[in-house]
Amino acid sequence: MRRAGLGVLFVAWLYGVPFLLIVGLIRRTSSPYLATRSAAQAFGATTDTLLTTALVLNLALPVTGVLLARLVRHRYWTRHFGWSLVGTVLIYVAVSIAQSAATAPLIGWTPDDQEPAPRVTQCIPTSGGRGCPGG
Amino acid sequence: MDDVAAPRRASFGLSLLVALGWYTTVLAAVFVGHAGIPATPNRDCAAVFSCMTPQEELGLLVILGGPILAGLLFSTLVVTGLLARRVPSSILTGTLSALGSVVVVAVAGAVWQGLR
Repeated sequence: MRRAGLGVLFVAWLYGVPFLLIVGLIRRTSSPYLATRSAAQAFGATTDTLLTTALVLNLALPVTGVLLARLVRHRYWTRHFGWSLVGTVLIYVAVSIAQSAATAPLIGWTPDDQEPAPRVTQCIPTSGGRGCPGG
Repeated sequence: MDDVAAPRRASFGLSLLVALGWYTTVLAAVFVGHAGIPATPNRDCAAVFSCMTPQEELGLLVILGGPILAGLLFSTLVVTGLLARRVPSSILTGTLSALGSVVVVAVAGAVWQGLR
């Protein structure tokens, strides 16, 4: 039972973190068609959530695994979670390389939207300042 | 009872499973990532293959990527066989084998392109 639990935790880190990172980076590097500003913000927020979750889980899962495996004195998983911290560092290095290649920050970026800029349709006269045509 | 002594050799089947897990994860992530991107409406769909749904793209990938996938699997079998005798962990063997096979297939592809 313990073994299965630790195994699930390890597989969640091994495949889950790269999965979230790939999905997040594809969204981040894409140029989606977003009709409104709020849609663009929602798209950016989802991408941020994916990337942040991946980065947090990348550290949280191996550390939890090491602690749990030591607690139940499981040698096989203690060794594996211990070594997985090397993988954690490698993933952080890879993400920081991607970060340095990007011009805008990886997290906290909003894609362009297709919403037209608001046009000025009304003229409001100011006293002593500008007047309006026709009145 | 849970404290089983770690085997010195990686299990071949388990390593292969880990490597296949990597391929599945990456393919699924690319598929999910692309499916989540809203496409431009009013595209010119006159040309063949210009406007495909993700499902159609996946189908095309399976057909065109078949030889690459077959090469990848064959290379994975060989690399896993070589590594499993030396590396004590199945998870590490499978991961290295998946990485190594991608490199082998990439190099083979580059050589093939160069010879043409």
